[in-house]
Amino acid sequence: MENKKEIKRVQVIFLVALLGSIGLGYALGFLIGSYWVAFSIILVGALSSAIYIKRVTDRYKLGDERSDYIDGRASALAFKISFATSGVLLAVISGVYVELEVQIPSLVVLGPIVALMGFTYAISSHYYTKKYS
Amino acid sequence: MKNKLKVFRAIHDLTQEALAEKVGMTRQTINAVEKGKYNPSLNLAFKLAGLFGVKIEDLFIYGCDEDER
Repeated sequence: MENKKEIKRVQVIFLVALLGSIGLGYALGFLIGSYWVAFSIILVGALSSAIYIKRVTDRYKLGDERSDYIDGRASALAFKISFATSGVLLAVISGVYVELEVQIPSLVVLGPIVALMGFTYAISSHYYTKKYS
Repeated sequence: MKNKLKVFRAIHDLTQEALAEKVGMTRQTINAVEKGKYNPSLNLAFKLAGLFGVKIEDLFIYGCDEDER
């Protein structure tokens, strides 16, 4: 399959670009002594290589509408659950702050929400794949 | 929604893989449609009907069971 070979080649380019930007980011960050430089280079490298692989893969992959449908449903469910949960969580945190004047750092709140979103997506993706297969 | 995909596939002597390649889908999608687990888009339904030279309603039978998507 021509497409599979092409996608494989692109995946290698993606990995090299990703690992290269991580290496370059760390090296420059270490030399300059700034974590922000390292973080920026890694972020730009990771994002641009991810966009590149997505564009190429979309061009070459078979138009599998079922996987797009499953992905859409899983994403929607993950968003709905995470949105509702984070709403309740933020309301509780606000209540705690108003009543007890205890402030909770944003990272402590955002981390579990993002983790919940990822976990819900993985579970719902698995569920819908089973359902539509 | 029931369908006669397997029958038409057999008439035209096509494997799921071959049919999938002809309509630009994956074998898994053809299998899911054939088993009635996944309702295809209009685009795919037209492609399949066109490939077998029949009308969509000859290939897909609407209203056989609850149409839950």
